[in-house]
Parts: sequence; structure tokens; C-alpha cells
Amino acid sequence: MKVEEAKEKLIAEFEGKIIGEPSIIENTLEIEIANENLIEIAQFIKHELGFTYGDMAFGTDQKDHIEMNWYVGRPDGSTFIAIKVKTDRDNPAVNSLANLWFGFNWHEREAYDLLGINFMGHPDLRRIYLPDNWEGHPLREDYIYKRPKYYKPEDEEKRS
Amino acid sequence: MSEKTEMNLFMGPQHPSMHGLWSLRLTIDGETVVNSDCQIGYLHRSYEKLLANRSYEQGIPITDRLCYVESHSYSTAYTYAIEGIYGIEAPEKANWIRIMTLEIQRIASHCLWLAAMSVDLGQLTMLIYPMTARELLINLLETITGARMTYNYARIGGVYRDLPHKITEKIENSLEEFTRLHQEFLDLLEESQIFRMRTEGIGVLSKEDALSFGVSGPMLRASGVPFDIRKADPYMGYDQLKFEIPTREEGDSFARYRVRLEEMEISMGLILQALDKYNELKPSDPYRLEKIPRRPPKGRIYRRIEAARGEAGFFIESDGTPSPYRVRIRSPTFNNLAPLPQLIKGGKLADIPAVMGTVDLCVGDLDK
Repeated sequence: MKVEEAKEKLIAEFEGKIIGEPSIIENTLEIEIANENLIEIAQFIKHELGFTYGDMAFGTDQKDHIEMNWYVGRPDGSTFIAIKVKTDRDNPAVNSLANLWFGFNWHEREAYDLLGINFMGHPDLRRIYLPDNWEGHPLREDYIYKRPKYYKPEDEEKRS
Repeated sequence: MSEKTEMNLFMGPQHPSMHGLWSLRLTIDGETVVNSDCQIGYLHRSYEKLLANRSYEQGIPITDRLCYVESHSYSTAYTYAIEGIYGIEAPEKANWIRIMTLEIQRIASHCLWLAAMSVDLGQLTMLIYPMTARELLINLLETITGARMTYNYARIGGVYRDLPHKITEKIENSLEEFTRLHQEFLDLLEESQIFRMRTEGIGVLSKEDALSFGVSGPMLRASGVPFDIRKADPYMGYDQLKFEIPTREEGDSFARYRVRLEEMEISMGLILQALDKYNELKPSDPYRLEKIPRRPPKGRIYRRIEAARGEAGFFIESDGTPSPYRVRIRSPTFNNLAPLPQLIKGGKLADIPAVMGTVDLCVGDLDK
């Protein structure tokens, strides 16, 4: 399936639910959708269009909002779709796709860890890289690094 | 007997078969693994922030340190993505040099994996054999780039320098020697009953799960998906070379081992083909673009290459300043490790090194 074909099928199926004009960069189709349509469109992309390869997911702090991107691909690696959802910066929350593509489980945990995005419906939302008691989210543009507190065994006991 | 017999066990970060700083929290019932949870992040250096705080060129030596086993793949992937942002293309000669060095790096990385995995499975002789073979390839890379571990050889729009004189004989001799050693690996491992018993049918990853988890590289191909970026989305002129993609249907540890060994042979063929293409060019042809503007245009791009462990990709968002606004590293190990709890669930504790060994971990790349 070519990128143009995927674009036509998506536009025919979800007229009005795709925000703006989908752009094509090399073999990747970029679509922007609203959070409430995310699960429905993602299910269509996976089951009807056959994009079963869960490539990667990441968030970006765009200063006035936060955007979350999921990259999914065809099993033959010919075409990729980037699903983009914009969310509020003060209280970022988007739906989780970790139940559709299992690989996004860790990628969404990473976005939660480094950017503080809450994923609704995620099976296991915890920090992945940083310790549980870390303050702040380092990939935010306004994050200021503070020397971390030294690890004490009694903190571990308090948490559990 | 209603007594609870489960217990928790920490494997790593000091465990010798963990291959780096990460740990596995296991819940075991006797010898059977009931549940597990990967604890990663001990080596987290916030690479995405580091790269976004530096100019494009300053980022190249840093990406070399992403994975200490195959540093050249990552710096090439980064420069390749930067070229996409600038909208420039490296000269033909640079591409053949890149393909050669990338494939040498792939074999060297697979050799280190083979040594480490065999020791985990009790094949102590196999520690020395692949390391000796790896030395041949590292020496080649040293001749070409000037360094043995972190090469800093990739540049935006080409490579740091041209290949040295008389490299053709050197590469051919090294590969001839390597072919002999490669046959010895096969003889030593395939005929070993213990090795086969410990890997066959262990840690089976199904095709659907492999795709859903975003597993890539030899691990995906061992599960029966013929997905190789060198074929599916050719870059740097791989479409002009002839090669096969080794694929296995079983999805177990033995299949993953076998795919990697077959890949070494494929890579040797690719090096020789790229060398022929290189020798067709004149010595005066450029190996690097001369002038690169300091500020790239605004835009975003995601470009991927096939590293030894799988898909190594860089997403770059540029805001028109000399440094990128956002860099996202898609590291293959991060996706490849995610299905591990599923692979070892219900198996025996002693099978964990057999499964983990064939996942081919590199913690520097996993933790970013």
C-alpha cells in the first residue's frame, strides 16, 4: 500500500475528523486528529488498513501545547502513518494506544516520565527511566535541573 | 498445602549475564518464572535533551556513545537524518564508504554478541573465537576511521576522510580469514547438543506479537517477518546491491542465533559489492559535501537505518536555529526488550540467560 492510497482511504472514512491537510514526508503520512477520535481511527488503521507494526511513540513540548505522536507501519515496512494528537500543556492527557500496539506500552511510559503526559487506559503507567520520587519532567522546555536527593532505603519502605 | 510458595528475586544489575546496568524483578515459584518486571534507566543520560542543546555537528560525537558496541551505526543514522532536514544528499562515494563501514560494524557487533551469549550458555570456548574474529574487523575500522571504539567518522553530507591506500587487499584478506572463522563458529555451536537443547523452543515470540511490540532487526526476522529496512525502505544505495534477507519461522532463541550468523555472511557479501562499486569511482571524486549551511530550514523528518540490533531511527524537528528543537531516538533495544517478560513467563529460571542472550542487549542504547 502506497502512502497516497492510505491517505485517500483515511480521508474517505473519516471526513471531518482529520484536522487540517494530512502531509506526506518521504514514506510517512502525518495526520492530526482530536483525542476523542483517537481510539476509533487507530483501530481502523490497525485492523482495516493493516498497519500492525508499532514503531515508536513520543511527545514534544511545543511551548503552548504538548503534542503526542505515534508511528505505526505496515509489516513490509513500505509505509508509515504518524498519528498526532495535541493536548493541553498544564494538564496533558491523551488516550493510550498501548492495548492496540503492545510496544507503545513502554514508549508511553517514557512520555509520561519525561513529559508528564497522562495516558488514559494505559495498563501500567509508571515512570520508566527516572526514580519514582523524581520531581518534574526533564524534557519540558521550562524544566530546571535540581540536584537529586540521594537515595535512602527508608524512602523505598515508605513508598511500598 | 495452601501456603504461598512464590518469592521475589532480583536479577541484576550486578548479575554477570545481564550485559550491563539493568535489573529484572522476578516473581518465581520454585524454578518457574511467574512474573517479571524490567527495571531500566540506570544509564539514562537524557540524550534527547543533550542533542537538542547542541548544534547539529556537535551532536555527532555524542551519538557515537549511544551504543558502545556499534557506535558508527548511530552516528551515521543521525547524520543521515540531518541530511534529510537540510534536504541534501551525500555524494555517491560517501555512500559506498558508509555501507562498507556499517556492514563491518554490523559483523563486529554480532561477534561481540556471539561471544557474550555463548558464555551465558556455558560455551566458554566460544568467548575467544568470536573475539578473535572481531579483532579483524575492528582493525579494519581502525585503518579506515582511526579509532577502535567510538569512531566519530560520520559527517553531515559524507564521511570524515576517504579510504586509505591499499584498503582493498586488506578488506579482502580480512574477510577471507573471517569466512574461515565463521565456519568454525557454526561447527562449534551447531554440533553442540547442550547449546541446541538450551536454545531450541525457548522464548518463542509469535509473528503477531513481534510486530505489535515493534520488535525489529534479527529478532523480528527470526519470528518470520521478512522486514529489513535495507530492502523495505532502501537508503544510501542499498537498492543497487544484491542480497537476501535471512528469515526463520520458529521465533525461538535458536532462530534468533541462526539469523544473526547468516546475517554475518550476507554482510560480507555486501562489503565486497560496495568495495567494487567504490573502486569504480575515481580517486578524485568527493567523499563529502564541501559547504553545509549553519542553519537548516524549518521542518521535521524521521529517518531510519538498519543497525545490527534493528531499526535505529532519528526524528528531528528543526525550528531554523543551528540546533535541533526536538530529537527523538528510536532505539532498537528499547522495543526488543519490551516483550521479554512475556517470553520468559512460565519458563524456568535457567532459561532466562538463553532468552536474554539472543535479544542482544546494549544498555547504552536502551537507556538513551
